[in-house]
Amino acid sequence: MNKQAIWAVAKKDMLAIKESIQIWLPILILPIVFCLVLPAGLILAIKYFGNAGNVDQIISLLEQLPPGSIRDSILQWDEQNLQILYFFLVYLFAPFFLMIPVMISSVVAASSFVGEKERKTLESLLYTPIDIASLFWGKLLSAFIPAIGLTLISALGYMLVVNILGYDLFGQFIFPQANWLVLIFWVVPTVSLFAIFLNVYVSARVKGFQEAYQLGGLVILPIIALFVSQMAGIMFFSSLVLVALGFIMLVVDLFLVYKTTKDFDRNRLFMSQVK
Amino acid sequence: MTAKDNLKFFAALYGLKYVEERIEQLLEDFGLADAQDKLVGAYSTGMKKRLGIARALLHKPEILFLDEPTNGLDPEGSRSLLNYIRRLNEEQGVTILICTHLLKQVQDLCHSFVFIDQGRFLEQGTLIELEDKYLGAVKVEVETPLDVNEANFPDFPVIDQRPGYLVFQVQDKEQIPQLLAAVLAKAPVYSGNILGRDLEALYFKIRGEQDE
Repeated sequence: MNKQAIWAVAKKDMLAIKESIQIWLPILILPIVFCLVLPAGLILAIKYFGNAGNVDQIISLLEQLPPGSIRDSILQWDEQNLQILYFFLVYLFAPFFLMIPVMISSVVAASSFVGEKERKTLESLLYTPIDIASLFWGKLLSAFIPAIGLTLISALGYMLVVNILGYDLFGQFIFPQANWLVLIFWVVPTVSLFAIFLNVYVSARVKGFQEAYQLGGLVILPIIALFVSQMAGIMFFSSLVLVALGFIMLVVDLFLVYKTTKDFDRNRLFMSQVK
Repeated sequence: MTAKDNLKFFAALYGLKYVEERIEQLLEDFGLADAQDKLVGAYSTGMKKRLGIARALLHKPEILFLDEPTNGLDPEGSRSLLNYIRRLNEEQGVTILICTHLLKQVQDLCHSFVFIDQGRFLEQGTLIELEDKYLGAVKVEVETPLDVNEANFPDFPVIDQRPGYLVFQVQDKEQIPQLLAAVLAKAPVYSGNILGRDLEALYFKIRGEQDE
């Protein structure tokens, strides 16, 4: 492994993202909408109109919550509106912060090798003395850094917005929370790596963008769906569950690293671009 | 990516450090200095080829493999590229291996040749060596006003003619001075030229011989 080469590949690919508006625009819009516009709208709606629309179902859901710290944390607020708001801000919005990095890393990682193939630059890359593992790690980093960076920034922005706008209502800052810290700093990186590994793997195997996006999307979408639906539930559990989830993802990641480095050599990568 | 960034990127892959000067020198050498900040995507085929060779030279290699280096280039582009290649060899002593099917192009450029057919080695040598081995009976075109009827030399039959030229057959190169002396005894000689000695003709002879 060659640090200088890994960093060169990662830097080159991140510059390419910056130069392609089709890639970075959706990447930017998603966090802004989910992390700033939605929570701000929700808080302001409750603040000025006193309710957030038809909330009967949510109320009945809240009433059915099993006894425990989550129920307690929600029911600490006297007003029903605040209970609902707190439930949304702390629990229901959490999965978005898993979706953002997964989406960003999928988009970037899917085009990692395929991009080189389409631009016919993979061949000259393979002629250089860079080892294949370094090439892979460079590609991984080029997706990982923007995914994690943007997620951190959006999470920070989200917490700031919620704290500032919500202070009047709650009378205190509701972030940071332990669950969230575990989510952002432990689950998000491991799950992002998982999405990246899968997409880079697919990207290295297929010949064109279409295949990469389709296959990559096929693999990722059910996983995202599963995660988003489960996350809503998992956030009801303790930080411990999140820590465990991170560990499971880490094990899967390590397996994928092993598989990727085992499956690809220079010749295999070269042949994968031949049409 | 611009040409300069491209070279920097590849320098990093080669594990090179402190490459600024080297990159500037290469861009200068390959006539890309003015276009160094343009995107490579906007380059012409010739410029891309030159950039490709500049890239291959970043780490000052002792040997350079080029596969069809003039493929897709116009005549000017090919010529300037071949000149770069020649200079590279003469000035920096780089050994260059060119894989090509454009025999005429490399005939005067390369010092020696290897013929390979379907991955199988056929023959190798300098042009002179190949000639000695494969030229065989030599056809000599002599520019002379001598009439074909007077050119009745028993050892050197006339095999072709056109106004002002006669083509003789001789057994080998060593007989050419005798032929010329014989012609000169009867008429002036303005020029003499061995036919079929170019690399392409030799190539067909070598292939023909191997096929038999």
